[in-house]
Amino acid sequence: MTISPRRIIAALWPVLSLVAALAVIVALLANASPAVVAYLVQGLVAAITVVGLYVFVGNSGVLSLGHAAFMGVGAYVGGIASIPLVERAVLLPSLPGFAQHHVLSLWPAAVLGAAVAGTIGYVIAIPVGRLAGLAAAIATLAVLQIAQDVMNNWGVLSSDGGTTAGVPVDSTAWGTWLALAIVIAIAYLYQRSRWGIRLRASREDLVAARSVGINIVRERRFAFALSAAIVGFGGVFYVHSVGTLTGPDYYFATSFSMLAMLVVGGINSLAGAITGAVVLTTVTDAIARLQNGQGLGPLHLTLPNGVSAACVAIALILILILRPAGLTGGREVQMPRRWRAPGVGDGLGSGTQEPDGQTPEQADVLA
Amino acid sequence: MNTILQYGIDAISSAALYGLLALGLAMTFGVARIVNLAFSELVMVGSYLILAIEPAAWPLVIFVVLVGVVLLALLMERAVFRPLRGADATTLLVASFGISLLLENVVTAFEGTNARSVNFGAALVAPTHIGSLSIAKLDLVTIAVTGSLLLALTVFFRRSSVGVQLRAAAADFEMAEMLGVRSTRMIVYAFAISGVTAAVAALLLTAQTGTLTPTLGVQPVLVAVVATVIGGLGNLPGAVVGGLLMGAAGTVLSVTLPAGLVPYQGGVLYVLVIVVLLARPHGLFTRASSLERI
Repeated sequence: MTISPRRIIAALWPVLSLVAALAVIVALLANASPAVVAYLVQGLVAAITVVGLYVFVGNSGVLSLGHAAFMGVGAYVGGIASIPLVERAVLLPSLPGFAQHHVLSLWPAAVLGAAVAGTIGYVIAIPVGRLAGLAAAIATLAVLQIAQDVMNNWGVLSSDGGTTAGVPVDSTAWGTWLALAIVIAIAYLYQRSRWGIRLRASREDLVAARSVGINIVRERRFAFALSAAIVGFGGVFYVHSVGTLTGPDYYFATSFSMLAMLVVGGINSLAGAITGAVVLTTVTDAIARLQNGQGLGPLHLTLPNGVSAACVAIALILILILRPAGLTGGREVQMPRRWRAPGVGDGLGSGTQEPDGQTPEQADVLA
Repeated sequence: MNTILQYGIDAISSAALYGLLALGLAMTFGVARIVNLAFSELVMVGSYLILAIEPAAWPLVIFVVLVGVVLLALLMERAVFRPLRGADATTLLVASFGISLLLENVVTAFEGTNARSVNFGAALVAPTHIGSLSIAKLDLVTIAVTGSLLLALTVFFRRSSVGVQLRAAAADFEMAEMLGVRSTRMIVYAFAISGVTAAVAALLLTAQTGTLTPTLGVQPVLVAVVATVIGGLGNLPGAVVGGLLMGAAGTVLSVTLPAGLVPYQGGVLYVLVIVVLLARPHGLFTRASSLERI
């Protein structure tokens, strides 16, 4: 069997289509006003963290409410590593010696933040990865709470309990898009790898997966670490877009908005993670514009504080009621069949389908 | 000895409140498998209702809060959870988060995010002296009210037909349905009872703190969610005991932790929670025989 380029494109279609669609969005908005670009960057960062959450929650079927903690780990590590030395010595005098001598630019800081978040994720997954269902949800919630206590109280991380400014604001729209593209590719390669397939098998049927020799705890542990690393990676880009480190940014509301985006898009697919992030970010922005009286097309209203978030909540509830399985229904975007080489639909292309018994026709609806 | 007694009463009073909240959460989880995060907003709305009718006499306040919160609980069941019957547990959780977000921001739109103060039950804050102990009357009221409410609910669950049906639905929903328990009606009752517990909790919390913010319910209810899981989900007495344990553990930790660790009190408590979950993932009070077998 030869591997034709068309076959490879068909196999990578779910990634290529998402990355291309995001590139179109970025290209359209990159030259808009600074406020719009700033919001675009935040949306792309949100998408990175949702993809990170998806790597664990989507593939394993186990809920995590604690992933904002790993975003915080990445943000604190990658943020502090980029604060210029002079300011760092003033703002954070009690940092240990090795953290006082090097300044990293955005990308090395992001890699460092991801590595630390991934390592901590791996250690936490050793106990927590053994749990499933609500016990896992509560244990990860406990992790979130512990991380929040440390961020708010540990003197090493902030000079006087609270925020630390001075992180350079240098996340650009295209830079963050590139980070997101890399993360999407990693998540897709993982989900198509033997490890990802084993984990997805355990999601579908725990007992059957165990009976064919899958070490579920080990697979979950690896996925949790990878997922924590990706979320931490996103955290670095986040802090490099807001410039300030503050504990409450990485708490309950963030964890839940990540989960809400994933569920709105469709919890079982990468396309769902991206769709949810894009849709909820767009809805939030559109309503916030109305609230600020900036207007949205012909609409000009001024709304009191809190109304925009309330509207987002209504939109969230409505989407859940109308599409309980998420906007994508847990499917990936497949290459349109007429573009596929003859017979390819039965090869790598169909291998990328979800194991939930969908037919190629259903896949084509989305493509 | 006296200090221990003093702390003991503090512990029981905060534990009783958590027990009450945990029971309210366990109601909807047991019967409908809904982890209702919007429960915290039921408490919050209850507190703001006190503010809304501020100079009213206390029996009227209690009546308005009870009715208002129960109606709101029923409304959220009808408008959101009923259309989502049979949806994934995660979807239900996120939906309840959506309701929570909605209510919090509606209250923010009307009242702002600044803390408001309300003068409810101020007469109860003054301490009363028993021997050499000085006890806030409010602590005694909290213990008495939650104690009698829990007792009344116990009698209701054991003696009344609806109570027995509710317990049956909490134990095995499908089986209960097959035996003729009306499922939708049970879910409505569960939400109503959960509304009653939220209303009582709102009254007691507001009397204790006197300040209102749109996020006042979040922290206590998070603790109560943890308590429900520790107690064994769907296990109503287990939830109450879990709540009592969380409240008591919090008080004990605040007394016994060394000074350097005091800011991390919550963190230490949650480390204990993880340890408990690892040892008993299905809760402290779940018998092995009641677990799902394959």
